[in-house]
This record gives sequence, structure tokens and C-alpha cells, in this order.
Amino acid sequence: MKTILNKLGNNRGFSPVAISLWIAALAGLALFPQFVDNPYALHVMILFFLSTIMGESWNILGGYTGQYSVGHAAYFGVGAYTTMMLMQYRQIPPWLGMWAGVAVVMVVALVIGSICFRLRGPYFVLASIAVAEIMRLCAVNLKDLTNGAEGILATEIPPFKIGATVVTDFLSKVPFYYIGLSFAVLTIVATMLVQHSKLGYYFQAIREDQDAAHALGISLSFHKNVALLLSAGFTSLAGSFYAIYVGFIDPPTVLALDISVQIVLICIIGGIGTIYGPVVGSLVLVPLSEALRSNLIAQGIFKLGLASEESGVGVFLKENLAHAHALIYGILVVVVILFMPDGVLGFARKLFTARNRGNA
Amino acid sequence: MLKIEKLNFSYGDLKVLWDIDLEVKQGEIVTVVGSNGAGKSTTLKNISRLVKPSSGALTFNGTDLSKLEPHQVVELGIVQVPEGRKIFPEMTVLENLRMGSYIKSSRGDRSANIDRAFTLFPRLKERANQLGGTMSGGEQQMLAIARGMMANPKLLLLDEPSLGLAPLFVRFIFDIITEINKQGVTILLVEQNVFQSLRISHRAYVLETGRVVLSGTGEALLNDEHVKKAFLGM
Amino acid sequence: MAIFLQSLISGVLIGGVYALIGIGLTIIFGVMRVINFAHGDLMMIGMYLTWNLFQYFHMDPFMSIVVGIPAMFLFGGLLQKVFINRVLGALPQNQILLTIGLGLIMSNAVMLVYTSDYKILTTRYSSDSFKVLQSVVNPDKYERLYDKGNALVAEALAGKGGNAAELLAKADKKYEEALKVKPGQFRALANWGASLASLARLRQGEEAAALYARADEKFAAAAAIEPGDIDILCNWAIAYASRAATAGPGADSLYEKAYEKFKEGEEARPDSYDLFNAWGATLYRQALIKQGAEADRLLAAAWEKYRVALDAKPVEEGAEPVDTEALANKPPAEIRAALDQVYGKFPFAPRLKPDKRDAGISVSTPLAISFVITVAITLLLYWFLMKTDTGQAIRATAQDREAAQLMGINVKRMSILAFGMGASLAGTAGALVSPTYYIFPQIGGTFTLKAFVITVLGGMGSILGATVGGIIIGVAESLGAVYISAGWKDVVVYVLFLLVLLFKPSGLFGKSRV
Ligand SMILES: Nc1ncnc2c1ncn2[C@@H]1O[C@H](COP(=O)(O)OP(=O)(O)OP(=O)(O)O)[C@@H](O)[C@H]1O
Ligand SMILES: [Mg+2]
Repeated sequence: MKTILNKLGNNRGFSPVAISLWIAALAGLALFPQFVDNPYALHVMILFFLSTIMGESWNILGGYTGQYSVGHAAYFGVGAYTTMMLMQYRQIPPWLGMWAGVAVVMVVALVIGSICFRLRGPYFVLASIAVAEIMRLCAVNLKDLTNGAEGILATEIPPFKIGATVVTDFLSKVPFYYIGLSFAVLTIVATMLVQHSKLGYYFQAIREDQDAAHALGISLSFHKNVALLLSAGFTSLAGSFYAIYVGFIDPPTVLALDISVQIVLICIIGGIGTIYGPVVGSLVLVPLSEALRSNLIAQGIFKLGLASEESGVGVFLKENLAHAHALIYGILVVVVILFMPDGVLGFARKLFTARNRGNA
Repeated sequence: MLKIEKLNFSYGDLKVLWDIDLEVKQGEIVTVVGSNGAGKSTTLKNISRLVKPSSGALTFNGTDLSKLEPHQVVELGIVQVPEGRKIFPEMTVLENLRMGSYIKSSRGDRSANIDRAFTLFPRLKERANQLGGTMSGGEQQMLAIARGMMANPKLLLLDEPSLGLAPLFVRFIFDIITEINKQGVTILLVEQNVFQSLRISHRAYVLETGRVVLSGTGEALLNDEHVKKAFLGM
Repeated sequence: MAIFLQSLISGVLIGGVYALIGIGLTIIFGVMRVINFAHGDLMMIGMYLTWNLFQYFHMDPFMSIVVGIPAMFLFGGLLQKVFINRVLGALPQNQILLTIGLGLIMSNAVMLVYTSDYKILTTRYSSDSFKVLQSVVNPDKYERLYDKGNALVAEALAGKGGNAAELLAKADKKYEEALKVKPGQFRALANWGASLASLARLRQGEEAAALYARADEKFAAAAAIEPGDIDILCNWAIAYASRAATAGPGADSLYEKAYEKFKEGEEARPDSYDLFNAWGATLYRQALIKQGAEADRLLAAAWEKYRVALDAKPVEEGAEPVDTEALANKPPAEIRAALDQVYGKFPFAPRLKPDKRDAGISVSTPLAISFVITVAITLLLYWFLMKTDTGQAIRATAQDREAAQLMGINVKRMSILAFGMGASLAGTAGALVSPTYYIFPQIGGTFTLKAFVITVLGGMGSILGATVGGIIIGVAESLGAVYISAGWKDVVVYVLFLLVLLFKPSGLFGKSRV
């Protein structure tokens, strides 16, 4: 056990290279909207940030603490609903409402945690799904509160003012871009801080061996709940951000099992339990699904001359590839699990070290 | 009959067996003694192909075992009665015996073998319809041996059959082993009960931290100074 | 009570299908310790398979399992061999994700081929149902006896066979008992009278006379309760008329009594087709035993009644209304000829007014068939697992994989078998519900969740547990839908699930494994 803790402690501190890379990336991202004003490009970037936030948040609980929740839609959805309901029914602006959302989600998470953390392994996974499904059914059935299956449509997002000056009126995608970017950076930094804190070591000790961790005097339920609170809180921010950005939510889009699965996929594909895993996962998933949705891939295939647009195959591709993103997700997951169980990041690292070894 | 040459094995990074050489001849009782963690069970697992060695040759009557799956080893006639008995807990005694004769070549003798098992262990007959999981340790050991015999083994591997049994019962088990051997079954026995096992065996090996340190006839080893000191407390 | 039983029974029936899904999942888990998140999708594949066989080969959905079971078995075995086998030693979460991925591939591949439109598989019997438990559901003893009496009479009157008399005699007893329980019931008395009169027609002489007398008595008692009831008066009159036909010289006075009743009826309702039609028939019948002017007079009167009846008869859609005025003045010979046509075969049998009471529990025919198949498959499966070597080897593998290997069992083959069986069972469940459910690519998710609930409820790996768990969930859903609301019924199920997970994680049936 000691050795595990020591080993985990070794990667503490940041190398100058890493820091400069960080600064360069941040600067590039911050300046991006100054050079690119194509709304679609901004849209894809915003989805990328959203996906990163979702993945990083899940990673705290699933990746570092080893508690495989397949019910994170609950936190995403409850955050989204709280913000939307406060905005539509109580005229509370979303940048306040989203923090209320975080508070509500944390209370919900405590309740869920007290139920699910009594269970382990597959039972925990099943319980997390059941709880999220209960949340979804509540949203469908409590029509007076949530408008049921019809969902909530944002009629108008109030402008963000400080004092009397209007900071932004949310009329373009640019403000959303910066909000997304800052939340993404926030979650990544938070995850890094957690990873290198004592708390983070405890989380990872629990992931490696619950019973050993318990024997060392680490309180399982306390630390699991703390991990859940952090994870759920950030997920809730992602939910609220999504709600305001899209302007419409209903149970299937924010509370369904698909969302939970998608959140896990981001991490699986990138690499679980690593800081950059969810970033890499989002880098793979978001452009891929957007390209499929907008038929870019089909067009690319025609341009490359791999299939003619008029041929049977071409027509099939044009009509169907747009609906195929979930199919591609499925194939990706299967490929990743079978051939790169540590995700794209782990796979790349293995390739790299293998080559280095080969060279030496 | 069974020949092991230069067997090496590791659990991940942990090397457990070092260059093991071991031979069992037709009709013998051969014992492997050694203290906890010496690698006795691991050796048997290698023979049954439950784990795959990192190097070394295992042959049985000239057949190379290294390409076989565990179930094919059983079909060759090598049957293991594992450590901890591993009785099927939700099956009755009869069903457990029936599973013992799962391989095709032994199915025809099933009822005869069940009769033989009940003659060797009358206790099992009384408990024929009791669930395996609810039986006492001693009963489970009887069942495990009886189950192993159901497959008409040529070579029976026994992993610590006396573990956790009352002294009187230990004697009974060793008598049974001798009896089985007299019926023509070759036996490779792994034991910590050094005195009893060396007494009944033709030859024996002493294993220490994964290496064969001594071998010879049972009698010779019983009188060996090192064995006396290390295992017999003399 | 009726509603409770109704939902209980439909719950048990659908629970049978749930049990199949749960058993499949539990076998896979038992043998491989892998939770199959693609289980509902396997069921969905089974549904589409059935739909295709129905659509393109006109194969009955229940018959289609003959093709579906082996096909799904091969498909499941292939999945195991190619995919699942590679993660058997891996982390449980990776196994879970692999099956999630496989499920995504299945549902989305099906969506690409069939779009996400709902498909409906309509068979001749898709919406058929039948009634059971009439006597149990009807708690009122009187009503039970009375219903029974009516049913017997209806059967006797409809029956072509010779046991009508027997049935009517039984009905006689039922009415008698019914009225002992609750005396003075109009309907029972009226129907009793009718049934006695019908029985009398089948008897001769003294016996018939005694029965007619008793019928008379019942009619009188009934009429005393509801004086103007047209049906009873009509039946009563018909009873007199049919008695007159065999009475010989006393016929005329009986006919007079019949006319009296008809007149009373006319006073109560001057426009009843049944009444005037029967009246006309009676006059015609009497005319047949008269001669000359007497006969002509009766025939003219009969013709008169017949015309009134035609006036009262509601004109059927599409048919020309009859111009009764044009029929008015006809020569006697023509009238006679016309009446021969109309009344030649008039049955002088009293008629029962059936009560429109909804007794009994209605059972959907397709669900009932699927339940029977479910039971058969489950029994077969138990037999296979308990009595055959291969079945026992599967159980042995589930109980101790390593020990199973030491018995010479090829555990990889057992895993393939287990996954194949699990897929077959899921596919069969899909086929069985396809006549009653919408079919669409994403339907699997709900059933995967249900399968989890069922197996956890019964104890992961326990087949008996999954069987009972399936029934419990079916009943809980069905009762939840009735007593709570359709929207909340799934919440009931999930809450039940969490409670079991928390307080009895080994399931309601302990740890009894495959
Ligand atoms: N599955 C395993 N994974 C890792 N190490 C193992 C495993 N099984 C055994 N070992 C290690 O291998 C060594 C040999 O174990 P083995 O079970 O063969 O010993 P043994 O001689 O049978 O001991 P005993 O008399 O206690 O049964 C031990 O150090 C043990 O800790
Ligand atoms: Mg051992």
C-alpha cells in the first residue's frame, strides 16, 4: 500500500516544458475567436469544452476513485433543470442559477451517495443507473415542476450585467465559447489539484484496493462522498452550461442513460484516471460525431474518390452516415476496450515506450 | 510417466518456480514436500495447465503438455484434486461425482465408479443428496478424492489432502491414498504432513522457495538430517 | 377485487416473459461473471428477426422462435467467441463497457437498416382476449348463481346438440338457488320463467304441463315486480302460444291468454317489433288450426300485426324501408301465402335478455400464448441444466470455474454455450412480445434495465431467482400502473430494486447459484 502511495506521489510538480505548453495552448484557445468567426467552428469548440468538462468531472469519481458511475446524467440533468427552471419561472439569471444548480446537485449527490456507496463493483454500477433513471422518470412525471416530457424552452437569456454595464448579451456564440473554455480549464485545474493533494492519494488508494485503504484507516464512505460531490458539482455546471447554450432541455436530452454512457465513453476512449484522458477523448469524439452529423465524412469520401456520389454505396452513405454517430461510438468503444484498454492516451504512451525500448 | 524438465514460472513479476525437474513413474506414489509458499500448488497448476509456464518441458507418456488446454490434460488421464477441495457448492454429492466423470471416456463407467466411491467412502453414500457446500471439511475432502477418481485417472494429483483434518482422519486419508495406488493409479502427492506422506511414498522431492533441493526415496528422505530438522522438528 | 385480479394476472403473464430475459442474463452472469449490458439489444434483435419472418415469410411470431432460437444462439455464441472471451479476465468495468459498446452497435446498426420508425406486428389474434375466473371475481353469490343459470340457458338455446334439456334442468336449479339467496329478483324470475317454458317445449304430457305451470308462476311473480316489462310479457305470451300448439281442444283459451299478454305489452309499448312480430306469428299459428272465415279473420289480424311490426322495425342501413301501406289491402289468399313465408318457421321459444355484466377477467390471447411458451421453455431449461451432462457442466463452471476445468470441462465452450443460451432466451422473449409491443431499435435499453432489476431481485446467478424475480417485476409494474399511475410504475420498480440492493444484496433467494 505504501508503495502505491509513493508511486503515485512521484509525478508531483510540473516540468517547465509542460507549463510552457499549457500557456501556449491557453493563449491559442483564448485568441481563437479573434481569428475564426465561423459560428460552426465555434460551435464545435464549445461542444469540445462541454465534453471535456463532463469527462473531467466523471474522471474524479470514476477514474481516480474507481467508482464507475453510469448515472452521471442525474447530475447533468438536475443541474440543467435547476438553472432552466429558475430562469424561466423565477427570472433568476443563469449565472446565478447555475450555482444554485450546483447546490441542489450536491444535496442530491449526498442522497445518492449514501445509497450507492454501500455497494461495490457491478452492484454500484447498477444502482447508479437505477438512481439516474428515477431522476429521469421524476422529471417526466412531475409535470407541474418540470413541464414533463415537453421540456423547457428558454424564451430569453437575460444579458449579463455588472452594475449597469452590459458585459455580454449572449447574442453570439463568442460568450459561450469563453464560458466553456473557462469552465473546462477550471475543471482540469481542479482535477490536477485533487490528483496531487492528499485527498487525491486517498481516492487512488481506494481505487487500487478498497479493503487495503480501509485497513490503512482511510474512511471509504467519506472519501467516496467527497469525490462524488466534486464530480457531481462540475457535472452540474456542464449541465447548466448545456441548457443555456442550447436553450432547450427535456428528459431524453439531459437525463437519459445515453448521457451517462456518453460521459463514461469520453474517459474510456481518452484514458481513464488521467488528466488529459477526457481531453483526448473529447478531441476524438466531438469532431468525429460532428463530422458524421454534418455529413462531412461522406463528402470527404466522395472527394477522395473512394465512392461515387451517385453509386448505391454513395447514396447509402449520404443518407445514413449522419445517423451513424452512435454506431461509430459503439465500434470505438469495442475497439478501445479490446485493443487499447488504457484508452488512446495509454495506447500512445505504450507505443512510445515500446519504440524507445526498440531504439535503445 | 510424467516428466518435468527445467520448469520456470512467474506470477507477473514474481518468479515462483526455478528450473524444476521432477519425474513420476508408472505405479508410484511420489510426494512433493515443502513449506508454505514453496511453490507446490503452483507446480501442480502447471501440470494441469491452469497456468502456463514461462519455460520448461512437461510430457506425459511422451505427450507434450505445453499445447494443451486444462480439459485436454484431464482427457489424457491427469486428474487433480485441488487444494481447498473446490467442491461444487450448489451441487449434491451425487452431482459432484457425476461431474467427476464428465470426460467422455469415463462416462460409461459412471455407475460402477460411483459404487466404487461409495465403497471407499461409505459416508458419502449416506450424504448422496446433500449439497456439497453444506458438508464438513473432512466430508468435502472425501468427496474431492472420490470425484477425482470418477474420471479413471492414470495419474492423480493430490494437493494437501490432509490439510485441516483431524489426526485420525489424516490416517484414514493416507490409507485411502495407498489403497488407490494399489488399484493401479499413479499418484503425485503434495503435502505438508511430511512424516505421513514420506512413509507411504516411493519417492519424494523437497521444494524450497521454488527450487528442488532434495530428492530420493521416501525412506531415505525420512532419515535425511535436513528433512528431519526442517520438517519433522527433530 | 376484479381490477386487482385483472392486473395481477396480466402482471404474471408479462412477468413470464420478463423471467426469460432475466434467466438469460443470470446464466451469462453465472458462468462468466459478466454483466451483459447488451441483453435488451439481443431481445430487440429477436423482435426484428420475428418481424422480418412475419413480414416476408408470413411466419407466425410464436412459430418463428423455431428459427429464432437457433439463430440467436449462434449469434450469441459468436459474440462470446469474438468479443466477450477476450475480456473475461479484465476489469469488470471494461467488461461492462464492452457490452455497452456491443449494444450500441446492435441498436444503431438496426436503426440504419430499419430506421427508428415503430414497427407493428399485427396478427389475427393480436387484440384477442378471453375471460377467466368468472365465478371467483363475482363475489355476490346470487349474481354468481344467476349468471351461471343464464349461461346454461344461453348454451341450451344456442346448442345444436341434444343436451339442451339437461342444461335447462341445471339452469332451473341455479335460478332456484339464486332466488333462495336473494328472493324476489325480477331478472332471475323472468329468465327462470323463460327457461322453464323452453324446457317444457322439450317435454311431453303431464311433465310439460307441470313445467308450463311453473313457468307461468315465475312470469307472474316477475310481472308483479315490473308490470309493464315488455320482454317478460312477450316471453309469457310465447309460452302460452307454444303450449297451445300441443294442447288440442284447450288451445283456444290458451291463445286467448297469449293475446291478453300481448295486449298488456302493447299498452306498455305500442311500437315493439319483437312483440308485434310474435303476436302476428301467434295469430297465424291459431289460424292454421281453423277453417274458413275464422281462419281468414285470424290471418288478416296476423297480417295487421305483422305490418305494425315492420313499421316498428328499425330500417337497416342500406336497405329500402318497407312501404307497409302498400301491403294493406290484400286478398286472403295472398296474405296466407305471404304469412307462410314470414311465420312458417317462427320459433315459439322464449328469449333471454342477456345481461351486459362484465364478469370475469379478460386475458389477452397473445400474452397467454406467450406465457405458455415461456413456461415450457423454462421447464425445458431446468431439465437441461439439472439432468444433462452439458447442463451440469454449465452449472459447474458457474460455481467454480477452476474446479470445472479440473473435471475436464472445456470452460470456453461452456461460456459460448451460456452466452448463446442467454441470447436465445432474450431473443425468444423478443419474439414473444412482438405481437403486443411496438418494435423499434432503441427498445432494448428498457429491457436491459428490467433484466438487471430482475436478476438482482432474484440473486445474481440464480435461475430460480430470476424466474420468480421476473414474475414479481411483472406484477409490481402491473399493480403499480393501476394503483399508482402508469407514469410512476417504473419508479416503483427501481425503488424496489434499490431496496433489494441495499438490504438484501444477495437477492430475495439468497445465494443459490446457477
Ligand atoms: N495467483 C497468484 N498470484 C500471485 N502470486 C501467487 C498466486 N498464487 C500463489 N502465488 C505466490 O506464489 C508462491 C507459491 O505459491 P503456492 O501456492 O504454489 O505455494 P504452496 O507451496 O502451495 O504453499 P501452501 O503450502 O501454503 O499451499 C507464493 O509466494 C504465493 O504467494
Ligand atoms: Mg498450496
